[in-house]
Order: sequence, then C-alpha cells, then structure tokens
Amino acid sequence: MSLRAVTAAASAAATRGNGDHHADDHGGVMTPTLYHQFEDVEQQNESYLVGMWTFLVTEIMFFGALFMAYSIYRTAYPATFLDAHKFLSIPLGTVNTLALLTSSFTMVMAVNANQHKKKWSLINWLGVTILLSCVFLGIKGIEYTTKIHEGLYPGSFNYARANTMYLEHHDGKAGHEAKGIYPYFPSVQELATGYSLNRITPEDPRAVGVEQTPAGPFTSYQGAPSDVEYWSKRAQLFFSIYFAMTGLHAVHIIIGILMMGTLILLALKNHPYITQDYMPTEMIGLYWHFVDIVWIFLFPLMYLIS
Amino acid sequence: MSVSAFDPTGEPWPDRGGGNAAEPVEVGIPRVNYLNADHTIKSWLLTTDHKRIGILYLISISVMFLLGGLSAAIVRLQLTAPSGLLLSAEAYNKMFSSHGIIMVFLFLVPSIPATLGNFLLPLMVGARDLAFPRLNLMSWYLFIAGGLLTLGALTFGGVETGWTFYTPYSSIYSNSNVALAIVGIFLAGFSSIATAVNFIVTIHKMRAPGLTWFRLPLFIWAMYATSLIIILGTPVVAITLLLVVVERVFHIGIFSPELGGDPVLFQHMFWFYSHPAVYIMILPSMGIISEVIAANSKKRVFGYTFVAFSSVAIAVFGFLVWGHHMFATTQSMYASMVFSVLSFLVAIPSAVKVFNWTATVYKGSVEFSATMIYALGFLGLFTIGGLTGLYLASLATDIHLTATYFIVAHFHYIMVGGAVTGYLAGLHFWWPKMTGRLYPEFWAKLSAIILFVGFNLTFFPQFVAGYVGMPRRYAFYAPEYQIWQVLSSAGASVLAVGMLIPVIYLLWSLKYGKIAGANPWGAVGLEWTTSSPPPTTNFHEVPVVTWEAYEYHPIHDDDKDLTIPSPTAPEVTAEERKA
Amino acid sequence: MGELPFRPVAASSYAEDVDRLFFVLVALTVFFTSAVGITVLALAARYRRGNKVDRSRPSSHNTLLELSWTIPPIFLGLGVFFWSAKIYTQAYAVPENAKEIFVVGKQWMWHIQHSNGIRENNELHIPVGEPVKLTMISQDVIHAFYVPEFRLQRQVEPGQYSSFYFTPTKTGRYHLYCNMYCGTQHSLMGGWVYVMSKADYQKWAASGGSQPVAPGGTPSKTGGLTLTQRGASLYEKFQCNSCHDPAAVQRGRGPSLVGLYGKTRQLADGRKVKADDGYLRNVLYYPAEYPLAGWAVGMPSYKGVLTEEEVLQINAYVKSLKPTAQQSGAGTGGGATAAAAPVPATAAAPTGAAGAPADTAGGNVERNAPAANTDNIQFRHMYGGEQQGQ
Ligand code: HEA
Ligand code: HEA
Ligand code: HEC
Ligand code: CUA
Ligand SMILES: [Cu+2]
Repeated sequence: MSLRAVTAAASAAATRGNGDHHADDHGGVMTPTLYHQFEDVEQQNESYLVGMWTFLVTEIMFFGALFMAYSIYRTAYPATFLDAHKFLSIPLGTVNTLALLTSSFTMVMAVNANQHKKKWSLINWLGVTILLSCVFLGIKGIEYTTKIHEGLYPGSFNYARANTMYLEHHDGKAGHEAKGIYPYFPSVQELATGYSLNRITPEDPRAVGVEQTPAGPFTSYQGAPSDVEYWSKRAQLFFSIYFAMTGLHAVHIIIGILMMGTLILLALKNHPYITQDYMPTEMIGLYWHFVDIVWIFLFPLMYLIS
Repeated sequence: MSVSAFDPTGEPWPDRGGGNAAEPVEVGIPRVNYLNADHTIKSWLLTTDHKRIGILYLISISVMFLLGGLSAAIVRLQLTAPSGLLLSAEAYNKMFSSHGIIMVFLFLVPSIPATLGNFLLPLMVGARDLAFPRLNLMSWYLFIAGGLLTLGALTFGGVETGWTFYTPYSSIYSNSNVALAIVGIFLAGFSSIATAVNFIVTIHKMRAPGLTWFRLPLFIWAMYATSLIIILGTPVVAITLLLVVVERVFHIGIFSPELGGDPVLFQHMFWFYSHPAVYIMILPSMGIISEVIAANSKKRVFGYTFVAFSSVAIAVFGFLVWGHHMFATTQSMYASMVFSVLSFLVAIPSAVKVFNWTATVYKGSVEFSATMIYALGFLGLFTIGGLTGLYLASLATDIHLTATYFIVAHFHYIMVGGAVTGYLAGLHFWWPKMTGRLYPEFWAKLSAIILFVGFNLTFFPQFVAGYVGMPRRYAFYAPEYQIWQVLSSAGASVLAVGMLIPVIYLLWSLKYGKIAGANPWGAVGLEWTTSSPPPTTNFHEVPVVTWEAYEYHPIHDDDKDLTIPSPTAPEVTAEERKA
Repeated sequence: MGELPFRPVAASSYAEDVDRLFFVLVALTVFFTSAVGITVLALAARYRRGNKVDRSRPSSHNTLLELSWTIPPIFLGLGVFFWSAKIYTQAYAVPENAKEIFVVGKQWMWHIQHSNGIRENNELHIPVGEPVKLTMISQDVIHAFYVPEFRLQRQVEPGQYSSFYFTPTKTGRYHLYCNMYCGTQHSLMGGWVYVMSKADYQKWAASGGSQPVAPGGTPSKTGGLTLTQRGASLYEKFQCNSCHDPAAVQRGRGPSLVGLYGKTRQLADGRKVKADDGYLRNVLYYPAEYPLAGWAVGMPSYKGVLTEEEVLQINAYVKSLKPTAQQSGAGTGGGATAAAAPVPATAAAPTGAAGAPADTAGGNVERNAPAANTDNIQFRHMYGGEQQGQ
C-alpha cells in the first residue's frame, strides 16, 4: 500500500461502518461492508485475495506431502503400482474428471453472475456446480463401495477376494482383463483353476520334487501361504495412498459444497455479502478451482499409470 | 476520518506520537485502553482485538511453559542417579516425551508469534488490527482445543514416543495415547497456520501510509519470514502426523515396513517441517533481539538490509537441509553430503545477524538494562548453540554425536539460551506497552544473570556427556556419566529459580509496578507512539510514516545533552526528545 | 593425538580422525564465541551510556564489512565440510577382506551372528586390527547400533539393511548402546563390545564363544553350524534348489545363483540393480518388484515364511556360491546334491570343520538372553551395580 491510501481514506470514511446498504440491483455498484481494520474496500478486497492465496499455498503443501509419498512409493514399487491401479475404473474416473472440469466452469459463471448482480443466475450456476460435485461424490461413493466390496479397504486389503471379484466381473470379456491383474503373477484364470507352477506341468522333468498344490483360487504353489498375504500388503500400499488422497480430496469437495450451499442461502436472503459484495463468492470460487486442480493431478496419477 | 501527516523536515527527532497518544502527553494509565475497555469475561473470550488475543495467548502459553518446565524438572531429578531416582523406564519415557511435545508444539512454536507478534504486529505496521480478527480468535480456540487434547493425552495414558513420533514405533508398536496427542498437535498446527496467514496479509496489505518494506522494524521482517515457514511447513507435518494416526487406527501401511511402507519416509516428511520449524522458533527471537539491541544502544541496527534479508534467506534455505537429521539412517551417502554442505551454508545468514548485532553496539549509547542483559545473553548462547549445530552438520562428527546428549545440549542452547531468552527479553521490553506498568529493573537484571549462569551450568555439562557417548532418552545410564548429569541437575535448579523470579515480579508489577507512560525506553517505532496500554483501536489517527526504521538520534561526543530519561521516568515528552 | 581430559578411548581407525575434526571445531567455537562475546562486551562497555567517548559519524551500514564477515565463514564452513565428508566416506569404503558380522535388532536386544556360526546376544567379540563390516536389520522398530569408543553409529531399520565398517584398534571392553529411541527398555538395550587380541579371539572362537559372558546365557544343544551351513540347509528345506539348482547346467526354472553376489542385474522394467545384501533379501521377500530380464516372474515370496535371521543365513549361503572349475569347464556337474556341488567360498565344508581355520571353527554355543524380566539382570550387565529405582 502506498500513500494512495491516504487519499482513498476520505472516500473510505464515507462507507465505513454505516450499516445500510441500498440494494441497487441495476447500477452494478457494490458497497461491501468495510471492516474497521481496513482503510477502504480496495484494501479489504486485496487482503482477502492475498489471504486466500496464502491459504491455498498451505493447501498445496498439504496435498504436496501426499503426492511426495505417492511418487516415492511409485518409484520404489513400480510393478505393484502398475498392477494395483488396474482395480480402478478408468471410465468412472473419466466421468468424474469431466464433472469436476465442468463444475469449475459453472463456478466461473457463478462468480461472473454475482459480479453483475444477477441474483438468480448466481443461484442457478451455484446449483449446477453443487449438482456436479454431488455427481462426483456419488461416483466416488460407487468406487469406494466397489473397493470395499472387493475387500480393498484400509485394514483389509484382500487380494484374494479382489482377484476373485475381478474374475467374476470380467470373465469372458475380451481386452486387458485377459491376463488378470498381475502380469508377473498367475493370471486370474490360472488362479481360479488352481495355479500350477509357472506353467510347468507336473510331467516336466524340472518339476520333480515340487509339491503340487491343490486346485482352488488362492492356494499358491510351494506351500507358501504368504503369497496372497504379500500381494495384499503391497497392493495395500497403493490403496492406502489412494484412499488417503482421494479421501482428503473428497473432504475438500464436501466443504466446498457446504460453502456453496451457504452462498445460495445468503443470496436467497439478499444478504449484503451477495448483493453488495462479490468477494465471498470469488473466494469460494478460487477454492473450488484449487480442489479441481488437485483432481486433475490425482486422476492420471491414480487411474492412468502406464 | 482524517490522517495526520507529519513532516519532520530538518528535525532529528520528529514527534511521532504527539497526536496519537490518547492524550498527547500523558502521565499515567490512559483512561480508556484495550484492557479496561470492557470487563466481562465474555468480552475477553469473544474478543477480536489482537491485543487481547495476544494476552489470552500469553496466559495460555505461560501455563504450557510451566508444565513443560515441570516435566523438565522431573527429568532432571530422575537423571541424578544412574539407576534413576524416581521413575520407571516407562514413566521416564513419558516424561521426556511430554516435556518435548509441550515445549515444542505447545510452547515454543506459538510463543512469540502468537503473543508478542499478535500484540505488536498491527501496532508496528500502524494498523488498527490484523486483517482477519475473527480468524485470529479462532486460532486461539484451535490452540486451546489442541492444547487440551494433547495435555489430556499426555496425562491420561501418556505418550512415550518422544516429540519426534518416529515410525513404526509410533504407528504400530507404541501402545500409549499417540493418536489423541497427534490430533491435538494437528489442531495447534492449524492455529499456527491461521496466525501466519493473518500476519502475511497484514504485512502485505495493511502497512501505514509511507511505511515501505525497508522502513519496517526487523521484528516484522522476522515475523514475515516465520509466517512463510509456517504456511509452507506446517501442512506437511500435519498430514504426516495424520497419516500416523490413520496407520494406527486403520493399519494402512504407509510407514510400516510390515505393511510395505518405509519408516524412513516418515523421517523425511517429519524433518521437512521440523527443521524449518526450528527457525520458526528462533527467527522471532532474532527479531526481538534486533529491536532490543537497537533501543538499548540508541542506534540503528547495523546493516539493516542484510539483517532483514538474512531472515528471509533462513526461511527459504531452511527448507533444504532437513536431511541432516538423518545422517545415521540408510539415507544415501551422497544425499547426506548435499544436506551437510547446505547446512553449513544455512548457518551463514545467522552469522550475518550475529555480526551485525555486534556492530550495532559500536558508537551507540548503551544502557545495561535488563533487556540488554538478556540480549547479550542471547548473543553468547545462540552463538554457542549455533556453532555446535555445525558439529552435527558435519558428517563425520555427527555419526558419533547424533542422538547423544551433545544434541540435547545443542538444541537447548539454541532453544532455551536463544529462543526463550529472546522471548523473555521481548516480554520485558514490551511489558510496559502491554500492561502500562514497569517491572522492577533490579529484579529483572538479577534474574537475567541467574538465568545465564544457571543455564550454562545446566547444559554445558551435557555437551561433555554427549561427547563421551551418553545416549539421549535414557532412563538409566552408565555410572561414568553421573558427574555430568548431577552438574546438570544442579544447574537446572538454579535455572528454575531464575525462571520463577520473573514470574513473581511480573505478576507483582501488574498491580504495583510504576506507571510506564507511552515510551519508557525512548525507543522509536510506531508501537511506542501510542499510549501504554494502547487504546482498542491502537491509534487515534492513522500514522503516516516519513522516517526510516530505527531513526535514533545521532549521538555526539557527550551524551549528557541527550535527555533520554531512565526507565523509571514517567514519560518522554516530545519537547524533551527534541532537545 | 594427545590425551585430553574427558576424551573417551579412541578404539577404531575412524575415531582418531573424528576427534581431530571435533577438536578443531571446538577451537573454532571458542574462537568465534569469544570473538563475538568479547567484542560486544568491550564495545558495550566503552559506549555505555554516560561514557564520554567519540560517537561522531556512527555508521549503520558498510557493504564491504558485511562481505568481509560473510565470505570467510562460507569458506571455513566449506573447508570443514570437505574434511568431514572425507572422513565420513571411510565408513562406506568397505575393504574386500572385511569380516562380516550380522546384527539383528529387536525390542530390546541385539542379536549377533558371526559368519563362523557363533551367535551372541548383546555382546560382540571381535579381534583387534581386523576390519569388520556390520550388516544390520531390525525385526520391529528402528534401533541404532552405537559404540562411542568407535565414534560410530548407524540406525538399524526394519525392512532394509544398513551397514558400516570399522577397524578396531585398541583391545578393551566398550559400551554397546541402542541409540535410537525404541520403546520402554531403550535404555537397557545394549551390552558390550569386546575387542580382543588376535590370540584371545582365536581361543574364544575355538571354544565357540563359550565363556559365560552374556547374562543368563545358556548353552544350546543344537548349533555347531556356520552361517553358510545353516543357509545351505535352509536352502534345501525351502526347496530353493528346485528352481535354483546350484549344480544345474541347463536352464532351470529360476536363474542360477552361482556367482550372483555383486553382479549388476538387468531388470525387465529397465532398472539396473546391484546384487548386494539388500537385493538378495528383497528378492526373497518381494520377488515381483525385481522382474529379472529374460525370466518370467515365478518366484514365490518368502515374506512371513523366512525370518530376518534366516534370510541372513540363506544370503550367506548364496553369497558363498562361486563357480567351480568343474562347473565352468566340462559342465557335467548334474546329479550332485544342491548343497555340496559348488564349493562354498568360505572354507567351511558342510561335511565338517576339519581343516577349517580356527576363525570359522563353528560355534557350539548359542546364547539366548532370556527375553522377559531381565530388567535388573540387564541393568547389571550394561551398567554394573544394582538398580535402585522403581
Ligand atoms: C531453535 C532451534 C534450532 C536452531 C535455530 C538450530 C540451528 C541449527 N542446527 Fe539444530 N537442532 C535443533 C534445534 C535448532 N537447531 C533441535 C531441536 C534438534 C534435535 C531434534 C531431535 O532430534 O530431537 C537439532 C538437531 C540438529 C541436527 C541433527 C543432529 C542429528 O540428529 O544427528 C543438526 C545437524 O546438522 C543441526 C544443525 C543445526 C545448524 C547447522 C543450525 C544453524 O542454523 C545454526 C547457525 C548459527 C550459527 C552458526 C552461530 C552464529 C554464527 C557465528 C558466530 C559465525 C561463525 C559461523 C561459521 C564459521 C559458519 N541441528
Ligand atoms: C522450547 C523448548 C525447550 C525448553 C524451554 C526446554 C527446557 C528444559 N529442558 Fe528440554 N527438551 C526439549 C525442549 C525444551 N527443553 C526437547 C524438544 C527435548 C527432546 C525431547 C525428546 O527427546 O523427545 C528436550 C529434552 C530434554 C532433556 C533430555 C531428556 C532425554 O533425552 O532423556 C533434558 C534433560 O536434562 C531436558 C532438560 C531441560 C531443562 C532442565 C529445561 C529448563 O530450561 C526448564 C526450565 C524451566 C522451568 C524449570 C520451569 C519454571 C519453573 C517452575 C515451573 C517451578 C517448578 C520447578 C521446580 C521446583 C524445579 N530437556
Ligand atoms: C518356483 C520357482 C522358484 C523358487 C522355489 C525359488 N525361486 Fe528364486 N527365482 C525364481 C525365478 C523365476 C527368478 C527370476 C525372476 C524373478 O526375479 O522373479 C528367481 C530369482 C531369484 C533371485 C535373483 C536372481 C538374480 O539373478 O538376480 C534370487 C537371489 C533367488 N531367486 C533366490 C531364491 C531363494 C534363496 C529361494 C529359496 C528360499 C528361491 N529363490 C526359490 C524362481 C524360484
Ligand atoms: Cu533399540 Cu533403542
Ligand atoms: Cu535441523
């Protein structure tokens, strides 16, 4: 701030503290409440902006830590990540990405409407945004329930169950399912039919002395029950990070929905925050774009590993 | 409202406050000030006045410090005998963990920013309040909630992981109350973030007209750098600790090797915050020391720009050296080397500060007041603490000294000898501003000296104990180390006396202290231009700044003609200063 | 360097260097602290209020001065860094002939395996003057292996080997500490390192380390096998040879492990890794993360099947598999039993200790410090005397 403020102070003094805000729906002139610590509206608005950006920086660091954990484990265990991510549904992820991208657009429209003091347009755009985010949450919910159904949730990463489920879902279909989830590992079909030693038949002379395991989906060879356990645990790492990151993201979405709902309520009540000011909407818009961008990173990192 | 623009052309001692004190020259406590504006409890608990919130923080943080100090006393008591004087191993572990957790997360990290920072920042930049007063109040409630949760966890069930919460011990093996304590720390972390966001916005956007960046007091620069670290670092530790909780509760395996995770990743993420966090603890103190030395030498801080930018440099480079806590892990040798060389470089800005403070005294007019004694103590102890940090930054010596008492001595020299001493200096320096009363100078000097002596007696022996190989976090130890531990405990009792004296006389002064007046130290800075205690809106008129920081009167050969009154004098009038 | 008061014994090749650096740092500390302290006190005293001194033309900035006190510390710092980094690299430059000792840390004791089969708890016996390499892993939380007299420590982590090397230079008995907080009995997780003269050590090794040195130590009836031998039997027990027949000439189901140790492996996903101890362990636990180029992944995971100790033993055996002349020549070695065909590099033949040097003469004693209720015994063992507290 410069000496500009000195001159601005006079005009600011006019608005300071006086509570009556004339709803001036056509002039487009906003006279937001000026809080006592600020000199003028300009200073107040700039403060909000700087504050919001600073907050978003902390948010970036917040997610950044998880992204770091993700990249460290992905470099450490490329195979596991590659395999485990196949349990995620790319179509659902894509729909969600589209939903969020669109919602960012509708949010821009909402802010725009507020700036031009178009009350109903604002409410409508916010409504669409909320709707889209509910679509997003709904699909996330479906994804989560599938994972839980498959036994891939924190505390129980059940590879065995997941693989069977996967087999049930995808059996007979062409495409990438043919080989099952783990390319380095018995394919699902093999597992289902009782996996036999890396495609070596008992007649093979090299198989002499190797005990054959009974058939069944999850008896691994060589009497090493740890296999299933081991795969579960490795895959667990992927899903731990998946749940941690998408969960944290979903919490942010929910908070966003709540805030947008509040905005709609305020707009319905013709509250000066909406009629005389557009900063609240713009701040929430900024937040929303941030949440969106996080997903833009999450989607390829989780769903599109290659 | 009108703005008083003052043009001090040609006048060496501009009157910066005449129009600003509640009544221009006031002797005695101003009739209306932030303290007596309203007396109800509710008016305190729901206040959005940054000064009141600062006071709320001061009270809560002092309680934390006494609790942390109490556990330190028990730790010292236990260690007088190799086989432990009073506690079982388990109880001892809980005790030093409580000590570390309380002192770091609930006392030192929030201490200066939340108390003095909250109180002074708007005053120093000439604003009526912080940018977001309600956020500020929320941060205090977050702190209280977090503090109570953590204290609850420490008391009921206890926590025995040390303040570092290393995995997989904390996430799988420990069966103490880790999760609850972490949730508390998480909340306290968010209270720091709220404070930091507030500070950054206020410093950016709410400086008084004419108060350019390079006219800001160095304390503000320090607060700015601190806030930067807080917003960049705290979220990382927050999410890291949260992952520990999630791992404890749901057994997801991010840090536990049994579940596929990597325990060392935790250390990386923890220290990514916690190394910068040590600068969160020391930078505000450094800011205070700049103010105190300048005011007591009646001289502009030498190399203002260097001191200002060194704060920012510390904040930025502080983020690049976290790996120096992990030289003894499986971290690769080359990574360790990079972290080591960067640690040497990050010491340079601190060195710049130390040298500039020393040079400030040159040709000053030095008053050996209590605050100056604290500041001198800071200088010596911080230098020792910082230099011993270099033993740990160099690879070869670190893998002998790491996790021994040498480290304990290193960080107490910086955190107690440096940060806490600085905090006490600041508390004394601005006490008159906060309360309107002066503390008894004699007792303050006495306690400053006792603290210095007691401190060295407590922690110097620990350097030796560490060098001869005594590990830290040991409830029992080999008899050959006893001599050092006994010396240290003896010192700690002197230290405790030194800590108790200020508690007594500061409380005493609230009622019986001499009336301070607006500017008892003859210091410059916007906060001294308003009355003590300041009115609720800080300034009756928005100050317009046309002078540089620390524009102390150039003092010539004989300073007899300089009428800076002794601190007991009620008030410096504008006329007197112009003389 | 000379004897200084309080200086603990410097008992390793590394210690002397560290101390030299340490005392130079002490000198620097004294120098800078007194420089700053004396200067500021002298200035403050001279310019104290009321003193009539020349205060004309006070300066408040001087870029040249700033640079002159900024740049020397940078170089000083860099100097110290290079010196210390040079010393530090020693701990990594393991010589070929280093005697390898395996350490497993667990709450709250140290379990140590010598390659000649002697196992001890909370004690380590080593001969003076011989380089020693410790390969360490933890079974639970993070610990740290610390011997102040060697000026060395390293964290012992679960899931990953860590190691360091040193040469003990002075005989004596030194504290062994756990120096990473690991839970309730962290301060009692330790014991002693005995650095013995060569002759004493030979005697000790020959007797299988039978001196009653560990508290509550009980001789075990089993044992007598070297680490490699134990590994060989595990190799058979877990049927590693069904895929990795050390004697096989034609391509088996898995790659031959003969001569594997130390080679660089090309993995299918393009990574190149060195077949070191960590690799051998990880392949056993997480084979799918190491898809060897040219091989379909088919190796089962032994996670949860083999303990860390057993992995160390199997690895010792795998490392001992060196190609024999017979194998590299005619290639008719099939038919021999897995354990016997390739001659393990260590002299211990599975058939007995005959002709083996005393060093590897097999320990007959396995010591087990009782795990529970050892507070007081363990306290006495580590620190001497009785424990009064509690
Ligand atoms: C306020 C707190 C604070 C501060 C400011 C510092 C400052 C520094 N610290 Fe410290 N440190 C801690 C608190 C702090 N530390 C704590 C709590 C731990 C232990 C954590 C735990 O494990 O529990 C720790 C541990 C710690 C370690 C890890 C040791 C280990 O675990 O193995 C290291 C290693 O490099 C280190 C180094 C340094 C360095 C180089 C500085 C530098 O910033 C210091 C710079 C200052 C100076 C150098 C002095 C002034 C300079 C001069 C007078 C000029 C001369 C200068 C030169 C010649 C270069 N510290
Ligand atoms: C801000 C940080 C801070 C502060 C101020 C202190 C202050 C003190 N600390 Fe602290 N300390 C830490 C941070 C701090 N410490 C940390 C982070 C650790 C590591 C923990 C871990 O390993 O996880 C640690 C560990 C630590 C240990 C090592 C424990 C171990 O490794 O086994 C010791 C041992 O002496 C110790 C002692 C002291 C002492 C004597 C004080 C004194 O300065 C305290 C003086 C204050 C008072 C005494 C309070 C005021 C007086 C009263 C309340 C009256 C009542 C008192 C009496 C009657 C005696 N501390
Ligand atoms: C069912 C067959 C099978 C069994 C049983 C088996 N392995 Fe393997 N092993 C393989 C295959 C196939 C590979 C190569 C592909 C890979 O790395 O997964 C391999 C690779 C290895 C490697 C890495 C080799 C290299 O060249 O880098 C080591 C070491 C190894 N196994 C050790 C063992 C040990 C020890 C055991 C017994 C405890 C064992 N294996 C049991 C099939 C097996
Ligand atoms: Cu094991 Cu500490
Ligand atoms: Cu650090």
